[in-house]
Amino acid sequence: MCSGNWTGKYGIHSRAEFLANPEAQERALSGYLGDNERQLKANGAFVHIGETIDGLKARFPVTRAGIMAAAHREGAPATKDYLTRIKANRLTSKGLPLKPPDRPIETRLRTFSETSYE
Amino acid sequence: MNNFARRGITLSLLLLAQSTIPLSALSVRAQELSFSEKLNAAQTTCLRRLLNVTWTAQFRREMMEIGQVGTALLNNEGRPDYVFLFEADGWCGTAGCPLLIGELERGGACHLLYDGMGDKSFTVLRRLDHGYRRIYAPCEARFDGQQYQQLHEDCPNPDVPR
Repeated sequence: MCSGNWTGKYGIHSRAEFLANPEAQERALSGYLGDNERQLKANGAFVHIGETIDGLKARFPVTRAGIMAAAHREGAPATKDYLTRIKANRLTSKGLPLKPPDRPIETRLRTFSETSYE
Repeated sequence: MNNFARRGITLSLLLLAQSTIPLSALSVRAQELSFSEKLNAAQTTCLRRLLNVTWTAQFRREMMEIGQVGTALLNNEGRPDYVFLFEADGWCGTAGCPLLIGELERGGACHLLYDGMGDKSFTVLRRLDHGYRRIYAPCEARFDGQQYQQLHEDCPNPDVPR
């Protein structure tokens, strides 16, 4: 989403080259997920793995896959910020004034909680 | 022309001017914002106050450092509204980057208008809801009388209208 230029990483110099190169797309996504994982580790989001959140729609466990999915959508800081506020609210989102990004974060944490992530 | 008639014309012109100011403001075209990395004193104060009521303490210091600001007139009261965008490595996802909107109030307070995600395509539209302009941040958000609310939770998404 950030604005910028093509850097030549993975031999890609344009949008057309990127769209025509599945291997570069795969490597770019892996690189992005790796960056996100480092951010989440550094900001302490993974400390919340194993907690159970009483969410707006259901109870669900916090898992690595759920955190990765949420951060992919809303960014690592917003994901950790949500987890911190939920923890301070006795692990429930009920009664918590939710910010607009909180709902998609919770949805991803819940729907990807059973997904394996390696 | 006697004094009474002259006063009447003057009053009419004043009333006409007052009534046309909001109308002329309403006719402003959709406006794309430009963002600056340099915040002035009022913007810095506003951002600090917004962060104190939105984000947990862990992120506030970095957000003060990376925040970029655009200025918009979202209502017709003439006070500037500040759009703060946090577009830096590790801060964004596919939904965009954290974005806050604050409205400077008389006395220096800063009222939170929006706490969501967005990017530099942020656009102020002509249409008003409860006196505030509709926005694309890039997802559409409308003012509900208290704050801006994003119209479609799943936006941005290729299968969802913005």
